[in-house]
Amino acid sequence: MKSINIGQKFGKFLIDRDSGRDVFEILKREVEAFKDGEKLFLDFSGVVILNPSFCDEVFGQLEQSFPGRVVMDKNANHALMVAFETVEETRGVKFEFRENI
Amino acid sequence: MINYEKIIEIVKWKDFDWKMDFTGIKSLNSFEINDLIFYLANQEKFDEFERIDFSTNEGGEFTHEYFKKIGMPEQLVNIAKNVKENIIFDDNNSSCFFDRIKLYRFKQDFYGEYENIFEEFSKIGFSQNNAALITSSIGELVDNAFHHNLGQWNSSFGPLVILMAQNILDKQEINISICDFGVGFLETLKNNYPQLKSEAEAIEVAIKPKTTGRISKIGGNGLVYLQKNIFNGFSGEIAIRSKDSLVSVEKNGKINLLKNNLPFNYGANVFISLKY
Repeated sequence: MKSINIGQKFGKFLIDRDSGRDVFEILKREVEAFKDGEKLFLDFSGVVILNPSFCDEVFGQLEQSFPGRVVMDKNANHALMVAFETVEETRGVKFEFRENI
Repeated sequence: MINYEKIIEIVKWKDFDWKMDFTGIKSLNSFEINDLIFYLANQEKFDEFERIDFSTNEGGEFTHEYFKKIGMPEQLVNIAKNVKENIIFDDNNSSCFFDRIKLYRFKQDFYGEYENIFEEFSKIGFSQNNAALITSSIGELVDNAFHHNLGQWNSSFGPLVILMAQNILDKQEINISICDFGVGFLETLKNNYPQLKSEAEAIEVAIKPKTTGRISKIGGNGLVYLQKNIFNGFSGEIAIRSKDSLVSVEKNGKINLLKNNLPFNYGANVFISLKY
C-alpha cells in the first residue's frame, strides 16, 4: 500500500476548499494510477489543523470517487478526527481508518 | 448570555451629534460590541456625522472620539477602533483577546492569521487539539461569511467580516463573535430551500448536516463542525443573529428565538462562548 504524508506534502494547516481542489486532483492522479485493489494510505502526522471544508473537498470527494481505495491514519489527532466525523455526516461517506503502515 | 436590552439606544439626535447612553452598562461582550459597530455603520445618515460622543451620566462623559468623514471602509475602521478603545470592560477582569478587533476584506486576509490565532489559544492553556478545534471553527465561519456573501455584499462597505474575542479572566471564559455585513441566512439558503420564510427558520435549517447554500449543493460542514466542537468539546454556547432575528442554538440542534425586529436589515453575527 502506498503511503503519503499529508503534512509533509501539503502543509500543517489545511484550511480552505479552493486549495483542497488542487490537492484532490493530485491525490486523484495517484489513485487512478493504482492497480486493481491497491489502496492509498494517508499519514496525517504533522497536520495541525484540518478544516472540514478542506477535508470534504479532498478526502470526502476521494472516498466518494474511489470507495474503499483510500485509508486514513487511525492515530491522527483528535482535532482531525472531528473533521472526518463532520464530513462523514455531511457527505454521507464512511472513511476507513488503520494503523500507520 | 446576550441581553439586547443592553444594546445602546440612541437617546438624542442633536444637530449632527449622536449621543449614546451607556448608563449602567459596565461591559459589553464581543457579540454586542460587533453589533454596536454594525448598528452604527448601518445608520442611513451615518455619512453626515463627524463626531460620535460616547458618554455616561456616571461621572460625566468618559471619552470623546472624533473622526473625520473619509469614506468607507476607513470610516468603519475608525468606528471599530473607537469602540474597542472606549468601551469599558468589566473592571480589569476582561481583555480584548487579540490585540485589536480584526477586520477582513478578503478571506485570504484571515488565512494568514491561522497560526497566530492558534498560538493565542495555545498560550492561555488550551491543548493543541483544542486550540486547533477553536481556530478551525473560527476559520470555517469566516470562510462561510465570505463565500455565502460573494457578490452580494452591502454596497456601502463591500466585503467585510469582523472578528472579535474576549478573555473573561475570572470566569475562564472566551467569547468570540464573527460578524459580517452580508445578506443573512435566509437570502443565502433561499435558492436551495425556497420553502423557508424567516431568518430564524433559515438558521434552524443551516445548522443541520448537509444543508448548504452553495449552488453545487456540496458542503454544509461549518456549522455542524462548530456545534460538535462547542457543545461536545467545550460545553459552550452558540447564538446567531441573522438580520433582525437572534436565536440561541441548543445541543440537540433546536433553536430558541431570543429576539426579532432588531434594528438590523442585513448581515449576520455568530457568537461562541466557551470555558477553558
